Amino acid sequence: MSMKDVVKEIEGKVVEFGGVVETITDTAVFVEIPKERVKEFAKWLYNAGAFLKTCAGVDERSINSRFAVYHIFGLDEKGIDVVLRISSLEGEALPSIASEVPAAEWCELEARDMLGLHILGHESKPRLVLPQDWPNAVYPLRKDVPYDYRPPSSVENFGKELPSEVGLPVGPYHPILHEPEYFELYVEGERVVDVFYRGFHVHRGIEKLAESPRFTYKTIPFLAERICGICGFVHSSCYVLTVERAAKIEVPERAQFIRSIVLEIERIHSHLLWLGVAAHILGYDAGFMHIWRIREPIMVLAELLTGSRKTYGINIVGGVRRDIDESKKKKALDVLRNVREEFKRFVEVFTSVPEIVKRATGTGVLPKDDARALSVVGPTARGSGLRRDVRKDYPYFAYRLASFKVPVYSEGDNLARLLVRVDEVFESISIVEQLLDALPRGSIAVESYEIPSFRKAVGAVEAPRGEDVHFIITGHGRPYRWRVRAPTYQNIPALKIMLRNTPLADAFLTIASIDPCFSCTDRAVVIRDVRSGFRRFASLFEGRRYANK
Amino acid sequence: MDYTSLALITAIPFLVAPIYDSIERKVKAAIQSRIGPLGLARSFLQSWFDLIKLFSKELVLTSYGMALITILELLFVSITVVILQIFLITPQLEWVIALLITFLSISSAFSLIRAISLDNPFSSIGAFREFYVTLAVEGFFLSSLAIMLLVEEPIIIKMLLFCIAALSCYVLSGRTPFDIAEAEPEIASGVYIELSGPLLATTSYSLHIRRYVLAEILSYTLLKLIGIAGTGFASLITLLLTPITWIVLGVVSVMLGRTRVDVGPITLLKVMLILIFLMFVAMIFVVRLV
Repeated sequence: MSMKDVVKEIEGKVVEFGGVVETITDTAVFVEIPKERVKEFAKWLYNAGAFLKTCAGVDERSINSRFAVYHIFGLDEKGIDVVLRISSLEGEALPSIASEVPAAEWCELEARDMLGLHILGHESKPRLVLPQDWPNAVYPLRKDVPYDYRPPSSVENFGKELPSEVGLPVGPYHPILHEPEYFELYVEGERVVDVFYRGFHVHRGIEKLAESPRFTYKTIPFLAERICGICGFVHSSCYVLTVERAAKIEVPERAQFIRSIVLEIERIHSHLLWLGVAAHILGYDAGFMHIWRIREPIMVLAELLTGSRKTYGINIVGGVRRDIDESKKKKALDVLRNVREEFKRFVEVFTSVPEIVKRATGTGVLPKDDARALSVVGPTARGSGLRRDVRKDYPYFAYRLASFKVPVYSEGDNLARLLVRVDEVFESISIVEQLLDALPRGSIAVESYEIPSFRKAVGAVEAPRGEDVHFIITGHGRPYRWRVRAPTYQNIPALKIMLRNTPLADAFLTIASIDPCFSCTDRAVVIRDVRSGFRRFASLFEGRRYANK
Repeated sequence: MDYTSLALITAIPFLVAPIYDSIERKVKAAIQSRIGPLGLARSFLQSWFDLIKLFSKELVLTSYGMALITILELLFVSITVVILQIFLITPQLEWVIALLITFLSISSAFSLIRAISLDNPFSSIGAFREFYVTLAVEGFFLSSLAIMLLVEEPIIIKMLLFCIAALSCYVLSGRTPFDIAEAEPEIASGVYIELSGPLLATTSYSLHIRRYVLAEILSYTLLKLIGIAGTGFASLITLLLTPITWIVLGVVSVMLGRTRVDVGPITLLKVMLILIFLMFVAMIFVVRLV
């Protein structure tokens, strides 16, 4: 079925459900459906093979006096997004689609918390994103709430939502969690029977910050890159891709190649880092140390190509800020050749350590059906038999010109997710080599561009942890609404299934197996110097240092 | 032997155990492509520096009982090592062997009691893990050691007894893959979670001494296996062999990952039973030959 036929079929269904097609672009169809029939339409889309990417609540009162929820579906096999809008006046109820599409649960709860939307079926559920001491009836993503609003804290609300039964606490600070999150494991002997999760301890309101007068389209890439300390380039890439799609900006081919190369380098170092962490969790510290040694030349390579080991800062709307010359190209190819050889030797040893194989096999199982229902992404999905990879399904930047395999394992256990990452390191090395060899000549950024207001676009980039999704409604000088959905956000709900019936010892490997990035999921803190009144945004750890002062 | 030599021999383990641990850390670092403790002095004395630093920290007690058990654990493991040194000088005294085995068992029990006495879910999990591991090997270890030290057996039985002793020494030294009671990434150091400052130093020192005891026993049984134990020269060789045995055990642990409580102890038990079965077969074979 061609793209035209797919779009035609969607149009027909939209009319059948009494809706209207708002816009059709090369990569997405934007439709509006009456809220009474949204469940049926969502069910049809889901049954047609669509995955729910995320949903975004928007305060559109300054445009049309309404609140809207955008459900973003992706038809992976067809390579097209379907953005489904429903809206209501303030105080009116909106239906939930979580009963038909379980993956919608979290984003609907987030829209309820952040915008005060009345979403049917979620009324009695505890807060997902807002802290317990946040005042009632203050909804941070509403346009009338200042971006630097800081409510007074009231400690009496803390602890109200915790389950009465006491389990084994894991977090907010635990050796295995390198960022603060809270899991409570209920165990029988040494077997996990249930789990309670509380996240968003470090929610930094980054979406709201981007809508503030402090930021513009040009500066947001640098903010986006600070969403994550490991895969920040993914976020800045996804942001610029989304803005470029909304504004229909044609990015020079050379810039597209450079973005893809840096994205793959980021994937390699992220996967190598994860393998080290996995080895450490399994008590194999020799593996941990050696894989980080192998990773080091990749970090040096990133510095050579971008100027920084991390937080590269080379993405701008319309291109990149830094070029790759012939000498860098040659050095990069040498480094990749050595890393491939060393990594091959490492994998041979690593996968022959009996404790590693024994403990990763058959533990933390996520069946394919559950993976599908929760629309999990990245190695978590591919380890459960789902062939999902944005680079293949919705080719962007220079990926359509690269030849690579998408590793898929059907077992759904920790070993499957581990092997997906191992295979992906080899594939990524190959992609970088191909793209460096074929790097076209030309400019690296457009001369000028214009971004019209109230255009909508969805962008998705395959991060090391899976699909990163950004949704934008353009505004004057900056986005009217910028929604970021990190891969971990989509994968955490699956942990409840993966942890059940897992040996306690392997519960920690299971949590780590989705490669959780809580800073991505929770999302820079604005720092105000009380003496000078100067404000700027900062990373979480820098913020902590200021707090301690 | 004069009193000075006796005092020196019994003092050796208390001084050198942290030094052997420092060397093990340096060797492990080299295998793992790290630098480890920096400089010549720290390569040998880092664990001593760590202990001194911990002893200088504030004393935080979650319960007085725990402090008492921690001190008693060190006391009993110290008595064990003193008896071991006496045995090394006078291997012919059978009552010393009986005393050594008794105190080995008591110090092991105190290590378990300390783990169980901590009121913390992570510690409780660690304690039960330690209990399972100890249960899987302790009985086999003590009985095989007693037979090996008290009875002269044919070489085939000696070899099987040595295998049991070697495996037990490795397991009881709390190294990977059998460090499941502390398992830092999983249960936040488990049995050590409530310990800090001087108490943690005391427990760490007990562990160093315990590892010394096990390394020296293993060195002695090795000499016994090759038939040169029981002389003054053999005792000297045992003392020299102990750091090598210690480091070998450390190197083995670098190459392995951590096991799981439902896998490790059961596997150990199976291996022990197989070794015991082989020993019985060998005994029957030997008796028939005679």
